[in-house]
Amino acid sequence: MTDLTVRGLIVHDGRGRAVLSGIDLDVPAHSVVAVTGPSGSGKSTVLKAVLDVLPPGLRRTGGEVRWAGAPVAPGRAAVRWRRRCTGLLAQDPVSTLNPLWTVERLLSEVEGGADAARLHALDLDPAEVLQRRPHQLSGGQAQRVALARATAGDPALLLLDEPTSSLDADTTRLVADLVRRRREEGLGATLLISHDHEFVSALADHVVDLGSTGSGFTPPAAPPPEDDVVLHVDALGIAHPVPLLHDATFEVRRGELVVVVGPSGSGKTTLLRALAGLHEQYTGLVEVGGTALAPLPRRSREHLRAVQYLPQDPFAALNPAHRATSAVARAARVLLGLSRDRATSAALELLAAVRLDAATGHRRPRQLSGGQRQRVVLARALVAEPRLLLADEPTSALDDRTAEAVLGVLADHRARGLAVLAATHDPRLVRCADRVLRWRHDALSDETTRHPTRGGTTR
Amino acid sequence: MSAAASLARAGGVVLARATATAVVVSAAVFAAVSALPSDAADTRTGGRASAETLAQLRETLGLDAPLWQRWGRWTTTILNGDWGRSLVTDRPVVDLVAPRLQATAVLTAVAVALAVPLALALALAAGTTRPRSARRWAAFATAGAAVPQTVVVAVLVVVLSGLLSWLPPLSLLPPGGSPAGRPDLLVLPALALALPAAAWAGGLLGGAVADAWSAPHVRDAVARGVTGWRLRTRHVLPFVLSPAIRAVAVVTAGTATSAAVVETMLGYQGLGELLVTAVAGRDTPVVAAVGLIGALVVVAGTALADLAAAVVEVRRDHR
Repeated sequence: MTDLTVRGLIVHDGRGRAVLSGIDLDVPAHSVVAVTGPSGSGKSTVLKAVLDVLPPGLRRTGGEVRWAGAPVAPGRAAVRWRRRCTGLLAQDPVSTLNPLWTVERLLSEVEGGADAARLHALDLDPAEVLQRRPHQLSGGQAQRVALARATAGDPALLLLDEPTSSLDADTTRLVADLVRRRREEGLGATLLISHDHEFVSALADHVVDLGSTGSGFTPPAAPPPEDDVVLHVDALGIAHPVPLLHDATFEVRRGELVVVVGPSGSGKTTLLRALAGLHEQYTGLVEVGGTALAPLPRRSREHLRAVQYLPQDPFAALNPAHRATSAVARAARVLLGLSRDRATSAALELLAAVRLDAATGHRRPRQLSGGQRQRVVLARALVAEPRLLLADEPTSALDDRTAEAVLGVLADHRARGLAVLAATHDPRLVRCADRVLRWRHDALSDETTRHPTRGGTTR
Repeated sequence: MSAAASLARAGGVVLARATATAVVVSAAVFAAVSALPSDAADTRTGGRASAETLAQLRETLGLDAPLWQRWGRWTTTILNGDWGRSLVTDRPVVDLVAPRLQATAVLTAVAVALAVPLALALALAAGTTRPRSARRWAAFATAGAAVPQTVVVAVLVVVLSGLLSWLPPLSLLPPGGSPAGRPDLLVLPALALALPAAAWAGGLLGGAVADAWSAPHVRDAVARGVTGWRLRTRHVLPFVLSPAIRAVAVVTAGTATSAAVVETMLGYQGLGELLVTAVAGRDTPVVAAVGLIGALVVVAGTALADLAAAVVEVRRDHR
């Protein structure tokens, strides 16, 4: 039978510290096994060590990987095994797709990849997406394209690293169906990495826990927003590259958390990018603190500091040569004019608040986990003490405990007047929101949640 | 902006830059030639004429006018297709230059054809993900690029014609003959030009290849079991294309102009050898013509590379 057996897997980093010590894993044929654990516990490293694709700096120093009873030797044998028997969906799907290729070419790299039925099953319209390139896809669409490629040819072992991090509830259900169908039709085994407890417990036959601190999420409390308007958006329209948004008017007040929800591909990222000054083709008026927000090259230094943007793909937003602490400290030095020492201590303080210790802060982006990178980018945005934070999926790669810490930090800053506009699929973030803007076709409608007396003024 | 518009814009910028560079370069060449100690009047008379005869000769040859006037006259006549006559032999410069230009063009083409695949192979080796092997190949490339061309020529002559007797030690072309008829004469000079150029370009592109290797989509392809040529040609090389085109252009232009040393050492009658002889004879029109041709080759090559890179980049921006 095509079983995956892992015994005593040990991985060390360049300084001889153990990253994984003695992991055992059994993935019987046609079963679904999930690996869970807090952000930074080594979930992705397990998967990379099994596949023999550890990044430079990490080494497998012990253990054995067996496939169908026979050991898989590192090197050429492992390459052959990966090509013939496995399908992989990696983290950060947008950057793992070759940026020069169309979806059609991306999918046809694997035999039987450009199969229309497979795309339909993931709620992707072939006529719409096949000719697009990765940068024209939304985060969720890219994730589903990568998933379609990973499942093409029905590999005997499917490995999924956070397969639902950019997906809304409906599409998450489609992914769950797909995994379930593999098990029922006996197509192969699935090894799954996720921090999403609901998703995991609904799907997995067996769960390997890398030291979870318990599940269950309690939204941190934040004081109600003040009446002071920070962001005022009037008749905003985005018609390029495709018609996305028509005549949107809304406000975000001091201390308020407003989330934008809507189906994958509706244009949430483009809206945030437009406000951040990275997407210039829009119509309408955008004001921050009463003054119009200029396009990025002409934006005043004060506005550059006051409006901070948290991109969906934190890996692409970090300079690969800068250590986490210096990346955060640099923002404080450039935008606040702090001295080197004060900037570093401010950076360390914020990193500690989002549960990253000094040793982790010493690492470069490549050595950080997906959830750690997400928190570094958040710390870099908050250290500038902005008035408005534009956050794109700020919690997608975080387990419950870490998400609580991150939202707690956001609540602290909101108590001091920070306004947050976030795009998300994450129900935990929606539960913390003061107001919810839901994307319907090309319009935003207000769904008031927590403060009915304060919401409702926008349409 | 549409793809065609941005391409036209990029093309316009490249052309304007190339034209401006050509004007500056022609002035620089002319000034350098004029700055040589002694002039053609000295050379013609063998240094034995009286001051009066020299002054007379300078007047007939037009050497007494101010520098900028001579440059202006020179560029206008060149633009009219008249490259002037040699001050030493009195033959038209075009007749002297044309066969040499052909010989050097053939030599450069062969040298570049050898250098490009060598450089790409070296870049792939120096940009690999195995750090030890990458360091070794990068050191090899640096060392190769650092060896003086004269040493390369000497070693090649000693090995290929001295020890192995495969090739003639000198590359003397038959009078009026073209190098196409004697491929054996091309091997030594072409190798001598190609090897250091390949080492230089390979070392340079190794960095670009290493960057491309560490791109997330390449790491992902490796994790999916894509390896070997499939990985290199589809996922890595397209991202090295733009720097590679520029490196090839610089190598081509550099080879064409730096052929002088190799040509002189091996007696290959090319443009470089003509330049050396003409400088020795203070034959200003010939020196200026050869210098200008060399400079224009560099300018045209770089402009072509910029255009090609612009096409690649526009295609990428408008993906």
